[in-house]
Amino acid sequence: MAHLLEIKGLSASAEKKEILHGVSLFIDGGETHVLMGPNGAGKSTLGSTIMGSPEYTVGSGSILLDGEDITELSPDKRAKKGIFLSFQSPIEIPGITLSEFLRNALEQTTGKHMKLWDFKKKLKAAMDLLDMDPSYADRDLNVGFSGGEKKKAEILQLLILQPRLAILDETDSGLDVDAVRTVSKGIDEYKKQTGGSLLVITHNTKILDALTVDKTHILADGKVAAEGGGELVEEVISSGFEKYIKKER
Amino acid sequence: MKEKTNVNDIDRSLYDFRNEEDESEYFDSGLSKEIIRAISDEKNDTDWMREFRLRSLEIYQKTKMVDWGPSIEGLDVDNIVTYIRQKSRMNTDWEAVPDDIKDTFERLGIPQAERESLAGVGAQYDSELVYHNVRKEVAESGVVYTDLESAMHDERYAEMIRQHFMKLVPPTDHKFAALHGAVWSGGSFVYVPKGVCLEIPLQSYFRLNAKGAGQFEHTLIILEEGSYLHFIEGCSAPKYYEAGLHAGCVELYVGRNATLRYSTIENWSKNMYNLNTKRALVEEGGKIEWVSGSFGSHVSYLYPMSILNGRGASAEFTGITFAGEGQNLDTGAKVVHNAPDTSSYINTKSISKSGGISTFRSAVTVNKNAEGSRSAVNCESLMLDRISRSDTVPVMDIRTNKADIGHEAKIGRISDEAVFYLMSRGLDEDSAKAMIVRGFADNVSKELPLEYAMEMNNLIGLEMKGSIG
Amino acid sequence: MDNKRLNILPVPTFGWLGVNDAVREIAVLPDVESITVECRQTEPVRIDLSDNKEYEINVCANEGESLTVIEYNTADSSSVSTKIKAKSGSRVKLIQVIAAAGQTVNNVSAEVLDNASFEYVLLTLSGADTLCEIKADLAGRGAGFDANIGYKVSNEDKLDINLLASHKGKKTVSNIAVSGVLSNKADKTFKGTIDFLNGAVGAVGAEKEEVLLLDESVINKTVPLILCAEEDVEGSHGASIGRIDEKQVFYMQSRGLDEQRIYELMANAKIIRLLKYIDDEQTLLRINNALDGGNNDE
Repeated sequence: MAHLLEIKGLSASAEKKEILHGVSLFIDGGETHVLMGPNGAGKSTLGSTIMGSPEYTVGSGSILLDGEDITELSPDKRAKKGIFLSFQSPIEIPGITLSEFLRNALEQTTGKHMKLWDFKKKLKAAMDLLDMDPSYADRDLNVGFSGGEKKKAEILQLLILQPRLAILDETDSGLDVDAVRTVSKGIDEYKKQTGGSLLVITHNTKILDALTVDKTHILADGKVAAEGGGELVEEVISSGFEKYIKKER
Repeated sequence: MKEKTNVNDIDRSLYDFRNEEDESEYFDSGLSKEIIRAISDEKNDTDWMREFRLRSLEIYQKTKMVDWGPSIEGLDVDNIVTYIRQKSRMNTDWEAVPDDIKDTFERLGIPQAERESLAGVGAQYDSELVYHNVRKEVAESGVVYTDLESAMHDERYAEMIRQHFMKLVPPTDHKFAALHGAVWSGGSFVYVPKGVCLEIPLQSYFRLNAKGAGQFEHTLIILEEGSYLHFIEGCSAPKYYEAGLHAGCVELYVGRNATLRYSTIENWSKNMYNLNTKRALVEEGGKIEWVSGSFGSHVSYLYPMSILNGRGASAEFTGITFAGEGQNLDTGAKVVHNAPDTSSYINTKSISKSGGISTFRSAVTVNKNAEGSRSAVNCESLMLDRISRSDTVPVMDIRTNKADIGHEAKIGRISDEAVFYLMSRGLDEDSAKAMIVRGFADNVSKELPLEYAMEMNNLIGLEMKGSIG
Repeated sequence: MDNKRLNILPVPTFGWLGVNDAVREIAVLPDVESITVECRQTEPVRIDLSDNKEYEINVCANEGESLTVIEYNTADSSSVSTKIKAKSGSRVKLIQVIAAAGQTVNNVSAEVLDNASFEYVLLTLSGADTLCEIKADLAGRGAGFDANIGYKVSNEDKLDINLLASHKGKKTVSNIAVSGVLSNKADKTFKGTIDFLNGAVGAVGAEKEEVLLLDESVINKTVPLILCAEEDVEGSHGASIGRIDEKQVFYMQSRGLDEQRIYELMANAKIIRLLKYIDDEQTLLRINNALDGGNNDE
């Protein structure tokens, strides 16, 4: 059977500079993967490229979902197929409220109309879980949200949209201890409700506490430098990335 | 140097015929066909140029004065001939240059030799050697850099000039373009062949001074595919004319994938009406970079225009305008996006002081066929006191939905906190403010070759002296 | 028919851009109706402009009073002149909705005295030829002017807005926010001028326009002027014209919205933004009906 997500020899560049040089990895249904690596290794590029960001151009290689090549699909089509990206710095969109946006997104990804009342109930429950002030639902999307609120709003969208694969791009960075706990709770809830897969891009272990890591990928200089199980996370945290960078040279 | 002596001779005689004409014969401008014919005779114009001048005269007489912009009431347009004749009376004697301008030179530290050059004395000086070196190197690569009049009589360039001369800025463009077409004199012709990239900038600084052809000079530059040129227009030394009208014209043709950087630090004397027209036509993948500093003149109308005519063509305009006492400087830029994926970037600063008026004026038009185009305009104005004036008058005319157009403008004064901060580190108020203004102007100074940047900083320092009451 | 020069730009610029004025044949209207709004009002004063005539509306808020006037224009062709006097410490809010058919010549002039404020909301939804001229004379110390303008122009309609905020008094404040959507051969010009006169020490003025162009048949002209004859002022203007920012599109796409839906949402947002300034249920209902013929499940 085909993997849920398979990346084959992917190279990608931004403004004519190649950042990813032939990355390969795969993720199966229900698995939790961790992606680590030094700054500038290409972790965010990989996450964004899987989502189909226009900022990056795929040079060679492919991205497969359920064995189907999605390399050329627009981001909304990828989202409809079940991929979700939690942005490292979510953009502000004035004029559209969080609630309005999310309801539209839900209708488009599921292809089903949802009664306003039912949607509001669902939204309220998820916001409660994340300790979000209900007034945020009627605020313009991410506009004037603090860093922590933005990250919570990303996890809120994860809970509502229930994708099959969620890529979390440093969702824990810049958050205080309480906020990390809240976000972790949300991720845990996502796992419980959907049994979906995760690709967690992170620098530390706090966000992983409640999760069982199936596989760890170390990205250095735009290549997969090492792979292993959950134990690799601990090793990297204690001894750093140096040996992987050296290996590259 | 050969050109210098030639030009001086022409200068003395060229327009010295006006008093033979009966003034009552002429209405409107006082400029007649006879005068134009006499100019043609003096210059030994080709037939097409003779006709061109006469046609331009007709257009001039029919065209109305501009009905916007600063007042040019002080300019006696009904007797434009006066201004042309003034040229013959241009000071060729350094002693006759008014003291305030001489002082400026002293304080700027412009070398003695260059002052002599201003006075039209062809002396040998260091910079000239540099110039000659450039010329030799340039000539070997097939680049032509000469004065426009002799190029017109050279069979190698005659046809090329005919095909380009005032095609970009036609005499119908506005009244002073028509005037220019009728009476133009002097200027430069530059041709850069395919693929040739000039490392060292060409400077018209000395040439203009030497030729004394400032008032109605025409600059024509043609860059072939893939070439590069940095041209520095030499108005960096103030020129002095008794009554000042400058109606020059600059036409720049930038070929495919070629890049032209055109820098000007203009510091005309402060009785000058500067009605200059500059325009560039940029083909596919080509780029025009304007760097423009306006410090001098009494009244300026100056809006270099970039016509982006081929896919991926781009324009950058970086400008600073400093309007002091008695000055009304109306400057800015125009861009026409006339092909897909074109981009323009306009970044200007203006400073008003001691009753000076500075106006930033721009026009960005994006035509229907310019899908995928981008434009960003950014202008900042600084008011140094409450008797000055600063206006911002931008227009954007957008006719495609597939474009990204942004505009930002700010106006304000020097922040008290910044002055306080600098003074707390030991600077006096004058120096602190001058430093802040220099920093404000660094968008332009960092784009200039070092010696010009230093000169501009000196100019700002001069303008700022004694500005604090 | 009269040929008139309207909406004259306070400082003229390059003639070929065609923004220095709007020259129009103005229909001669048979009747003139005068309306005066003066005394203390707790409820908003709603004025229906539904006939083809000239309306002269005079609004005066006495010291310390507060009043709201709502003009809803559904006439075929009309000429509306609204003169406002906001005396010291008063607050006048004028909401204008234009859902006309033919030509509308709409003039607003306001004199705003010490510490008074003038809040202006304009929403134009339809009309073949709409000309709006808004002049706020911030004469008094601390006078304030807030303008929120939204437009939806389509079907070969023309809209020309000429707005002038004159800062005369010390510490006067103006804030002008404009947003709109153009489609289907729309032709729109927005001219907005912040004028700091000598003496307006401590004045602050800001202006912003965001235009979304939905197809390539449209003409958009944006002309944001700042005129300044005083040192101690702060002025700014910004404009963004064209399509939606690429990063915003990617973000929304990544959550499953396709491009068409994104544009619909963002276009609506440009108008919906205005609704929060219209604090009158009755008017909101009319606008909603005009916007989508009751096709709204909220």
